[in-house]
Amino acid sequence: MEKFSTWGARLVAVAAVAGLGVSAANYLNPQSGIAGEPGTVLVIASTALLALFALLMGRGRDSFFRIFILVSSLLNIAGTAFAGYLLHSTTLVALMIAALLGWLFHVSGRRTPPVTASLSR
Amino acid sequence: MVKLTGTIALLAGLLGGGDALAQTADWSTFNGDLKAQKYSPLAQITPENVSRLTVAWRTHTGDVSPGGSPPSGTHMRSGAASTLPPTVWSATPLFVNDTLYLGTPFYRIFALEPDTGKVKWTYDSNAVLEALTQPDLKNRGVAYWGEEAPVAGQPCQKRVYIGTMDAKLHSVDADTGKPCTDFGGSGVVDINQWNDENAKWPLSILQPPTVFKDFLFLGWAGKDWAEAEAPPGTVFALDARTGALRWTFHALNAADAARSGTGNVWASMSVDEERNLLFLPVSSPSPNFFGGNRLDPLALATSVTALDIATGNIVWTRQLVHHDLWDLDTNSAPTLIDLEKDGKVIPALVQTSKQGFLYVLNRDTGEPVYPIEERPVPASTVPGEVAAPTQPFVALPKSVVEDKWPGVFWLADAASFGYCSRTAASLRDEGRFTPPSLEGSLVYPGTIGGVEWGGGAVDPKSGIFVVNYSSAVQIYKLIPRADYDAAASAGSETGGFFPMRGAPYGIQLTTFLNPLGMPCWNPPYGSIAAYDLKTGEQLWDVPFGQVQKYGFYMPPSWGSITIGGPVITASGLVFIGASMDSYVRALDLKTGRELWKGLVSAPAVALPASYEYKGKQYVVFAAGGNSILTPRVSDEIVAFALGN
Repeated sequence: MEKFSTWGARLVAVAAVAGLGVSAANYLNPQSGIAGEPGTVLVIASTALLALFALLMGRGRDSFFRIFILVSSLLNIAGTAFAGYLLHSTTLVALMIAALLGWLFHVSGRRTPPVTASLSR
Repeated sequence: MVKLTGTIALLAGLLGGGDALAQTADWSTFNGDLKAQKYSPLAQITPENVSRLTVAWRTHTGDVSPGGSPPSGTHMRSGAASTLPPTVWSATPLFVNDTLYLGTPFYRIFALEPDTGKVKWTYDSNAVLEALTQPDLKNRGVAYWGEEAPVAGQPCQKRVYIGTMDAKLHSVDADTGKPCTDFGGSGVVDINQWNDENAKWPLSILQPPTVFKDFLFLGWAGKDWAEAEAPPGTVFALDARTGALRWTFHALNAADAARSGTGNVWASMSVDEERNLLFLPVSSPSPNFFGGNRLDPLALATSVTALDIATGNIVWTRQLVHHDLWDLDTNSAPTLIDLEKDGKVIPALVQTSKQGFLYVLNRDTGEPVYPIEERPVPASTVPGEVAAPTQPFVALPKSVVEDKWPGVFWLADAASFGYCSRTAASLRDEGRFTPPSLEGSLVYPGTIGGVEWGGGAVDPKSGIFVVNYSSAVQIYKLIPRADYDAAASAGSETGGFFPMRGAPYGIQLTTFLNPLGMPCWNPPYGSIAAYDLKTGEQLWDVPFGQVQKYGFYMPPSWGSITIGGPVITASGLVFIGASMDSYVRALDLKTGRELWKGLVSAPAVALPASYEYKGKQYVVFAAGGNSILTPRVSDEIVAFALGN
């Protein structure tokens, strides 16, 4: 199960990096319809942040930190997917669905659910 | 359908009708033809197969500027300024002489191969690239003329014309791009030589001339809202070969011209070839928002006017707005169509307008085909102003915009903590034709329109007329001269302020947005509608395009402000760019349903063109952008065709 969790985090990381690449390409491609737009900058930043969160998933001993990373990641995935929808970037939306699956794998693969761990202290 | 087209070509060739067919497969004028129908008889691309439309080719001209320092790849001639105004590119591509011709906002002509987009030749007018009259470098394309009996081996038997912002009209050989030196002596006619009254700025030739027989009909554009006394509206008829002046039309008499101005024709014109009539969309007089110094009727201002082509004499005129105080320029060429109605064929025209009315008139007489009613309208409260007591209203066809503004948009109001509703309550609002006021008037529709210069398109067989339009609310606030000048000298005069120098008031003209930049009025902000001109009935009316803010696309039901216009094809399709979202679209003529869309690099604020070359139908868009919609600009020309 721990392995399942690790693979989940890796899937989030891969999806985030791919989303970063797609968004950067959209920013630079005049045919994308969103080249040079502030909204495109926003998803570049959000996917970069998500990649960072993915690296930090499951790390650290502090349960608050781990919960913070998980909740932030989920909000990031949802927000980036919504922004991708509004930017007509279907690839980004698809990647965020993949990231969500990774997040779910990560959470379901953990031995001790983080919320329970937090409450049990 | 390819086979059918080929069969028609063969039959036409056998019958000696090759020229006629070539005309139908061409797109040789700004509006497709001189009737301004924007109709293509081509039918290779159909509602059934339009989803297979793909990019046939893309070409970039290099003539683009977002404002300031041009990006890499921009065509920069030696000696040009290091910074440039932004570009607005609204050129209809012309397909004629087996070549695609385009004018650019740097006032160059491009001749392209129609099936590949490869450049055959270019011509540089070397025009001054400065915002002399308009805030942007602007161009709406080129015009084409050919000898009826061309002499083989002689140059300039076929010509292309381009105008410039500094009032020069250039004539070049359509095959080589070399100047036609018999035109004005050196290939150039300086239109400004006839700018002899209130010459505050040059007569900018942004709209290509209308060409008929051996005439070039030429209007001009000026600098809006700056001066009370401005160059008075004139239309010039020039000899297509020599550039010699044949006649001049004046929209204002001498006395009115001295204290007012404009009433010019800055949009395209249409021609009834059988009746030898030239139809002019005449704009509003100056100053645009205060008429206290022009209280005479000025019957030709904000009108549609028919002239005798040979003489320039007025055959009839119909004023669409009396004593215009809203800058409701008549802004597009009227579309000519013969209507079968009650067993009779009526030679009609349809004049679209910023005010949203569609005026269907008899083009012999100017009399309305559907009733036009004079209704009382609000009086002015501004000292020195006397608004017209009545204005013409059209009940049928139904106006594209309502008589009352759409009301406060709850989302914009909530997001701004009630700013929209508070502001609306503080403004003067008595419906259509509420005059500008000192406290601020809510104006709907305002100078954005309604319908812009793209006008509408018609299927001449069915009589179905299609028109895109905007729904925009603006605020007009007159500011007494002393207060205005004090604000200007203190440096607090910023965007939205226009001096109208020489009038007792300046004006603050703003679009009704909340502090976050959201429109305060209910969507949709832009739509497209179809009418049966035989009955006046509206067939459909659907939101069109999508607002794009910071890159984010807003819901389709909100629509988009549009600039540009539609083209109809014989197969029952409507092709149009025009929206702020950089998509170009194909709609079903029967329902308005979107059947296809393609992404281009900036809003395609130009009329598209459709042509056939080597058995293949193309639809081509100039994607140039317009700062009114979005800062995104481009120099891209894109042709679409069915994939193999």
